[in-house]
Amino acid sequence: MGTLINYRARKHACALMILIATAFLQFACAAENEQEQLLAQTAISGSESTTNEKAAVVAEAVGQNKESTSTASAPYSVECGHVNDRGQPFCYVDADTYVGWRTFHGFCHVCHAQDAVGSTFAPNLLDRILDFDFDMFVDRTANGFTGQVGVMPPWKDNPNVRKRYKELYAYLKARSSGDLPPGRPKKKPKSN
Amino acid sequence: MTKRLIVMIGVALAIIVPGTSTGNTELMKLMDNPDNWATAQGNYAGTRYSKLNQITNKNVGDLQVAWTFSTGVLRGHEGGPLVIGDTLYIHTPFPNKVFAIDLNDQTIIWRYEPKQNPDTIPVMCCDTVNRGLAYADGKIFLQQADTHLVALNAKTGKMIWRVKNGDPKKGGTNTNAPLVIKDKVLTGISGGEFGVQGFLAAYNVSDGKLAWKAYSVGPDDQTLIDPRKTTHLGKPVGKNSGTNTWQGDQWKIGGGTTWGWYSYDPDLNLVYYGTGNPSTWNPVVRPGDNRWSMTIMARDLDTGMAKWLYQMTPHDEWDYDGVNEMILVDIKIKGKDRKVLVHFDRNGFGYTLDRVTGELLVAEKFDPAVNWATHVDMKTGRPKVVAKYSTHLTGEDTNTENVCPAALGSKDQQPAAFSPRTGLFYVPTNHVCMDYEPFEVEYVAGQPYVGATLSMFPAGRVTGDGTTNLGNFIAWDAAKGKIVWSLPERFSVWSGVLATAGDVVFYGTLEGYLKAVDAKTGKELYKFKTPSGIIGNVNTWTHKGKQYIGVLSGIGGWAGIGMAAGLTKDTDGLGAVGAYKALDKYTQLGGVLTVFALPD
Repeated sequence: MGTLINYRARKHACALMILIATAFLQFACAAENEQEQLLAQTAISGSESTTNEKAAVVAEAVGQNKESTSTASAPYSVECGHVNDRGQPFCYVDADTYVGWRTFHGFCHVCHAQDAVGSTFAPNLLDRILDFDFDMFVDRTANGFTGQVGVMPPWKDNPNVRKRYKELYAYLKARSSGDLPPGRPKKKPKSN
Repeated sequence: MTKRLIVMIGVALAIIVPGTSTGNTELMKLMDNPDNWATAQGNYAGTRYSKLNQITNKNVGDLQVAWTFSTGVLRGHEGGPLVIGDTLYIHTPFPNKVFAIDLNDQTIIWRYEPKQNPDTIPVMCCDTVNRGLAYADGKIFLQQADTHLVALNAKTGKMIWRVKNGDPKKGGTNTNAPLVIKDKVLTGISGGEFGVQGFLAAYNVSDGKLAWKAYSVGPDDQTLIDPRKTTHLGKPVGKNSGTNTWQGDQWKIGGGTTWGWYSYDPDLNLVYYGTGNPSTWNPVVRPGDNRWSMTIMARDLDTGMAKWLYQMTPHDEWDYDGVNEMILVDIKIKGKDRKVLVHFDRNGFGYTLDRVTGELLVAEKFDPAVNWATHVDMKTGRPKVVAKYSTHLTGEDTNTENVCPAALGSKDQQPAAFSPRTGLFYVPTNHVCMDYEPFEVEYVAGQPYVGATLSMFPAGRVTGDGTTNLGNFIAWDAAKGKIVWSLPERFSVWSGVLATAGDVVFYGTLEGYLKAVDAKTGKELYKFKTPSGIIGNVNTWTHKGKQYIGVLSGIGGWAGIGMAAGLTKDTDGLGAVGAYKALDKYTQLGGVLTVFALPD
């Protein structure tokens, strides 16, 4: 989170400098921006105050250098508005997203909480996933890291998670985009 | 001459060392004197009752904050302070700092901060909590998260010995408070979500050498069960009872961890504690009763041999760990004086057993929402499971809906209290239900081995009574198995309770309030908002003749996550529960000890 704020502040500072300075300075700022982008990619965010706005700035920045998956076709499909026999609403999702939901609520929810909303010791992933393209998500999930809030364990040795990066990513992207509300989704029947 | 002197000293030491049971007599004297708070639970019986009576139900409304102390650590702060004479000892979650504080001027006499591998953190399923310290024989005992049990010099904080009690690489960690009895310090192990084979271990107070280790599951030589003498509801358990209700070698990763509280009856020389869930959470892959997970155990302190056992939840299908505290009291049941053990289990039943024989006397629901079983058969001791809430019957890859209680139980480890003046138990409870879906997982050492998805929500969604509270604070009659009164709380009540001779009962809430209620009626007499949510236990002591009340605040633990669940959901997921607000609306992280007293 700190890095994100720094990045933003520096960006403002740079904008000012650009207004009053030479091409040389512009070049310097651009270089610093690139460095910051790299830092932003490796920054571990606090759950509470990474706003979508800030994260979007980073996502945009990252997108310039790398192919953005968020603007590409979504890795999930969600179809809401259904009601079960007890009158409760639910959503249909594709098989990957469903398996992602299940894997998440079998493992990740222990720290990141039900529906990925975060807990007192692990960040809200609805915001956090905005900073991650698929490759980075896989890297962080597989290898783990020490963050500002806590420690993410490496999952590459856990076959139950290792085989499910794609599905987890689909679920988290669906949640993060707002397309998939909290709760248990249903796997879309094949006939549909 | 010198040699002779050494020999003489040696002989003198040899005489003194077996006398380390002075640790016991010293500790018992300290516990008997209510000026101290000498063990995590206040006494061996685990009543969390204090004879102090300066603060009463008449004057508690005048209570004020006397002083505060920041631990400098975030994360969930469970447990509470020990007070021995003029010194208060307080611990923190990971990295498990310990502070000795001079009560005369609140200065820090010494501090201890172990260096622990941060890799331990993610192995701890539900936050890096620690439930407290033990004192005996001039030593402070700390059970670190990385499983090291450490003896510190109580005067200087210098390490005297250290012993490794488990292996974090295989999922073993520790959160429990150790307990010293006679010349032994008892500790357990966490890691039921990682397939750890649970045990209770007794180390020598003097040098940390292992005296005995009793596994919860496994063959008789590991479980220290005598097939002919150890009984279950009065009957000998027979050969290898800790393996013959498991398939193949599955007991080796069978769980039955022991991360709760331990009690002791000096007259019977028996230690009482409960064992946790069998691994995995997916019941389909572990057919059988999975003995002796989910079991109340009574063991001989000197040998570790089991005298009697009672399995509360055979073949657990919901993660109802049996580790909650065992409260030892002598009460009248049906007109007869009985030595009983009272236990409020995660599974929602309040049990009263004869603690001499293990006979089951009472088993009743302490939250009316409990629905996974209709009742406990008093002859067989088995719960009558309701088929539609059996996650095993519903099977893998199918969602079992609206099971009450949720996996965090009608009550978790947060210890209850008993007042001999009212004869009532004061119980902090959860009022939360869940959907539960088991699925197949592969076991890998040191990796979570859960195998079920969970969704939790307020019990009101299942009972349909329109309530939205996630907790209740109740008074319980353990002879009858009945709720006497019940105070709804917005969130789970996750703090340990204190009952006093002033007829006041204290507890904390997740929003951060320390509350004092009348012991007879439950009427709220005082509340104060501490800096963070309370999951610690309320303790009391005197200093220079004046009574103090102390509690740790510092939100976290399973409450920190359990309460995120269900609360930040869209209102449609909860029914008409628009009033719900996330816990972080009320409180933020941070550990502080707040100490209260009456004005001078």
